[in-house]
Order: sequence, then structure tokens, then C-alpha cells
Amino acid sequence: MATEARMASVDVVGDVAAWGAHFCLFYETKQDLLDTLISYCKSGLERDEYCLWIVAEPLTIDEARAALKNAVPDLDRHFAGSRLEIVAARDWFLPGGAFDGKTLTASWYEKLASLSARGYPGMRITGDTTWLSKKEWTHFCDYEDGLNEVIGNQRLAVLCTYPLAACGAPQILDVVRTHQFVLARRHGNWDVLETATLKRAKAELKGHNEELERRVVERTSELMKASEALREAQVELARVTRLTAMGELSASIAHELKQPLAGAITNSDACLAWLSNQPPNLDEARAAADRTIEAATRASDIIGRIQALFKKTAPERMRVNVNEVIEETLSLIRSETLRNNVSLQTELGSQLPPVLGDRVQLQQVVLNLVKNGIEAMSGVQDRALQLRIRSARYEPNQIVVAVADSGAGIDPQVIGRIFEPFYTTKLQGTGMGLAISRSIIEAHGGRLWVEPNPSHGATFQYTLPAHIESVQ
Amino acid sequence: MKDDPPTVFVIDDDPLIRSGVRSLIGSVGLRVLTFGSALDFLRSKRPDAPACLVLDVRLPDLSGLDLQRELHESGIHIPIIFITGYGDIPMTVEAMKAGAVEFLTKPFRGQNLLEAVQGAIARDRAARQERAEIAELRKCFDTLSPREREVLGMVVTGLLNKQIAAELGISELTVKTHRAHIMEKMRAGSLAELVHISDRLRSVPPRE
Repeated sequence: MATEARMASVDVVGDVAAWGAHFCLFYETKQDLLDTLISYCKSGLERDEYCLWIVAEPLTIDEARAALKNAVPDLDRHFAGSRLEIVAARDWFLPGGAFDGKTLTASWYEKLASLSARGYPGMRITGDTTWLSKKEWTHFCDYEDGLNEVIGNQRLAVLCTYPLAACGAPQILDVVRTHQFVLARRHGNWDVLETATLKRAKAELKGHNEELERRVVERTSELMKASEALREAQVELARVTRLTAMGELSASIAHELKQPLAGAITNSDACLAWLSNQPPNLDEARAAADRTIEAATRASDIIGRIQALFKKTAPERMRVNVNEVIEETLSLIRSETLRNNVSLQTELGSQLPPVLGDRVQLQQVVLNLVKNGIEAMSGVQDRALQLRIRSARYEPNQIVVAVADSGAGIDPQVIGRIFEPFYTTKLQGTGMGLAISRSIIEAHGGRLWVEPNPSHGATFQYTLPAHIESVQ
Repeated sequence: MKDDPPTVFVIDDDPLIRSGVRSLIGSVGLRVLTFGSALDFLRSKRPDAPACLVLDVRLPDLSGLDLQRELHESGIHIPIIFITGYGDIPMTVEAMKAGAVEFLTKPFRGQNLLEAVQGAIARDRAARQERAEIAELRKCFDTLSPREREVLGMVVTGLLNKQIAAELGISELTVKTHRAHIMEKMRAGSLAELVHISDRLRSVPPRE
């Protein structure tokens, strides 16, 4: 039983003496005091901390040392290493015969500084108060109160011991008020009392922690929302730019759609005409009906492509055939080249590996570059207007697409700026086409650049990494 | 005058439109020849028959308007029905000024195209007839002697034989003889008819 009690006491005091703790012990008997302080000092010494034990009557320095020696066999080593001091309370607290809280507080700061300079992990202090007279009580309480500030965030633990017999109720209240928490040991039994201040402080700390945690969560989700919003804004900007480009090409797109519709209507009319002939020519009628279906299917394909370009969906990563992307885009804007008397030539490489990307965004790049090329040739009078689109394998794992025009070329002064957002040399330009195109290509792991042609115009080209699945 | 059957030439780069138009026009029994480009049409050997041209405005290489200009400059008379995907007004005006007979905006109804085609062929038939008749009259006119041509010019302005004789310093009888020859050579039954023939000849300047 005795051993268990000892163990328990060690645990209690060892646990509570955390850095920054300023706590007190009310004890009934000398043995209660010794039990507590020995376990307090022992656990400090075991952690290589500096321990200062200030003893007061009726306990003597020798008694304290002897009792500690029983618990800590190599006590002499600690004394030799100046890790442990046992001093008399009167020498420590009343050096000039009177109690001087200010000087004492200052001396704690000095001691802490010198210990920390000597590399101690921290300081563990205990002081008894049997020497206190009624006259000094108020001063001492002020000092105890001020000590809380000294201890603050230091690597310092202070245990003040008060004989229960010498304390009246007012004194007990004062002690409880000036310490963070209270231990009481009466005939071998422990009581631990938290003070209202400590409870409040703990609750406040808990509150702060929760608040901090809540803010972290809040800020994190705000940040995530912001980055999501940014991503959405980029996608939306690309879409709006795409729609703007489509809007500028709407006459051509409408024409591309009217073409198969005209085909469907003409063939239906032909079908009806063959049916109304006497006798009806069913073979001709059937052939015309077949062509009607073909034409209507073509119109529906075109609508699908237009719809895809208008759609508001998040970018996808799929296997995409670069040549198909080019052909599909041209199918929408081929008549734009006719309208501008531009002759369009395509040289699409055969058996190109697919790329991994967003079909619509890649069409947008082709759309921008073709539109750009046509516009670059708008003022040219003295030579043929030619737009050449070429695709080829480039290095083992890249595909290159080049769009070359025979236009005015790019002023070397501005060639470095043409990919900047809002930079435009055109009267009607938004300045977003090339910037968006470059960001799309770069998001696909490729590069988009421009080079002047030897004779006339410029060539915009971009690379895309080929998506080659390992064959194993 | 015996012609080849009326022929419709169709030039459109879209194969579905081309075959649709061919089928539609073929259903009313007209002969249709289709071409994918204006250059193919120019290179082709065209039959000598009343005809019209169904022409897409936007064509690669040589556009419909370019072809219209080209035909006009080479003196090839053929009514043109334009079809276009763009209802673009300045272009329509330009084409109509240059003599297009019809301008259909895609998509158009078959009936409209057929009516335009029938109208254009009728018009071409009439124009061919007119050109043939004038060529015939020109041939007659070419048989007149210089003096007869002089007398003709005076007769149709309404001068009397006496006035013509005085003007030319010949006898009235000689004028009468010239007039008889002129009437015969120009196959005119009356003075009114002769005036009409002369007007027709004047309206078409002799081909160089």
C-alpha cells in the first residue's frame, strides 16, 4: 500500500509540474511535505533539469538532503554537477532580514537567463513558507501574483508549499487566488483543486484552440473555393473567348449549316418530284431520299460540333486524334476561307499517335490560329492568300501542328507581346485568342510559338505530347 | 431551227447539292450537266442548245461572280441562276447588275429553282432565236450594195423618193428601183416591216 501511495504521489506531482506551472501544496504533516517534494525533485533530476529546493523550519537542509538521497541514490553527482541546490528559506527570501518581492523577482529572471545559457532544459523550484509572518503576508501574496507573469512562457515550474495548520481561511483564499492550481496532502491523501482562473484559462485556451481550428478550416475552405473559382473563371474565360471567336465566324458557321440543309431540301424536293412523275420513278426517288438522309446527318453533325464548342463543361482528358480536331474545326469555318478568297491547304500526317486532351479546347486553338491567319492576310493584294495547315510527328513523342499564312507577318517589335492577354494589333480583336491558345496548349503539356516565314507571313506552331500506351 | 435538247449546267462544290439539283431538274425531263468547279465548266465542251447555268456564288479557285464576268467577256450568253448560302446584298446587286436572272438563297425550295430554270431556258431560247434572226437579217443586209444601204438609211428615216433623189442627185425612178431591190433583199413586205428590220439591226452592232 505504501509503495502504491508513493507511486501515486510521484505520478501526480510529475504530471502536474509542466513548464509554466505555478502551483501550491497545502500539507498537514512534515511527512506529507517530504513525500511530495522528493517525488517533485526526483522527477526533475531524472530529466536533467535544474532543481532548487528552498527549505524552511521545521525541515532542515540536512533532513531534506537525507530524504532525497534515499530516493535518488546518485544524489552527490547532481550536487557536483550544480544541478541541485537545497537552500534555507530565510537565506533566500529574507536576505537583508526583510522580504523584498521586487528584488526577488529580478533574481529569478537572472537565474533563468544564466541557467538557459548553461544549457539546462529548464528549472524546477519549490519553496516552503513556514517562515512567513502575518506582516509579510500581503507583500508575499503580491509577489506570488507577480510570479505568474515571470513564469509565463518560461521553462520554469514553481511549487509553493504552505503548512495547512498555519493558514486560516483568508490565507487559503489568497493562496488559491495566486496559484494556477492547488494540491492538498493530508496524512498521505491527495486532493487536487483547480482554481477558477485556471479553469477559465483552460476553457479560454480550449475556446481559442477551437476558434483557431475553425478559422483554419474556414480559411482552407475559402482558399479551396477561391482556387476552384479561379479554375472555373479560367474555363469560363476560355469558353467566352471561344464564343466570341464563334460569334465573329457566325456567318461562315451559318453557311456551313445551310449547306447540308439546302442539300436535304433539294434532295427531298427531287424525291417528291420523281414520285409525282407518271409513272413514279422509284429508283431516282430512293436515291434522292438516301441523299436527304446523308445531308441531314451532316447538318446534325455540324450542330453537334457547334454545340460542343458552346457547351459549358469542365475540360476533359481523353484520347484525341489531332487530325480529326483539325478537320472538324475546318468543317465549321471552311467557308470563312472561301469568303476571304483564301486558298486552304492541309497536309495532315498519317498514322499520328493520339494525344490526351480536351477536344473542344484543342479545336479552339485551331479555330483561333486559322482565324488569325485569315485576318493576317486581309490587307494583302499583291499575292495569293494561302493558309497551310500541317500536322506531323515531331521527335519521337511529340506531335506538331503548324498554321502558316502568307500575310503581312508580325512586326519583330511586337512578336514578344502577341501572346500577352489583351494585346492585339487588330481593330476588332479582343487580344485573348493567342493568350488563351497558348494557355490551352501549355495546359496540355505542349508549347505554342510563332516564327516568321522566309518570304511572307508567319507560322504559328504548337506541339502536343503524344499519348502512347505501353504495349505490354 | 432544230436545237439540241435544253440543257442546265450546275456548278457547285458540294456533291450533295450537286446531285440533288441534278436529280430535281432531271425529274422534269431537262438535261443536266454538273461540275464541281467553274474551271471544269470552262474546260468542258458545251452543246449548242437553249441552256442556263445554276451557279454557286462561293466556289474555290474561281468564284461564281468571277465566272459570270469571264463568260460575259468571252461573249458567251447564258442566263445565270445564282445560289448562295449568304444573303449578302452587295453581292446580289453585283450579280444582278451583271445580268443574273435569279438569285436563290440556300436553302431554297425545289419549285423555285425549277421555275427559275424554266424561265431562264425560255429566255435563252428566245434570245437564241433573236440572235439567229438578227444574224439572218445581217446576212441579208450584207447583200445590199453601198448605194442601196444609203437609200435604206434614208427610207427608214421617212424621206420621200423625191427627197432621196434630190439628196443623192439621181432620178426618182432610180430610187424606186433601189427600193424594190432593198425590199426584196431584206425580205420586207412593207415599209413598216423594213423600218422594224432596220431597228433590229441597229440595236445589235455588227460582230467584229
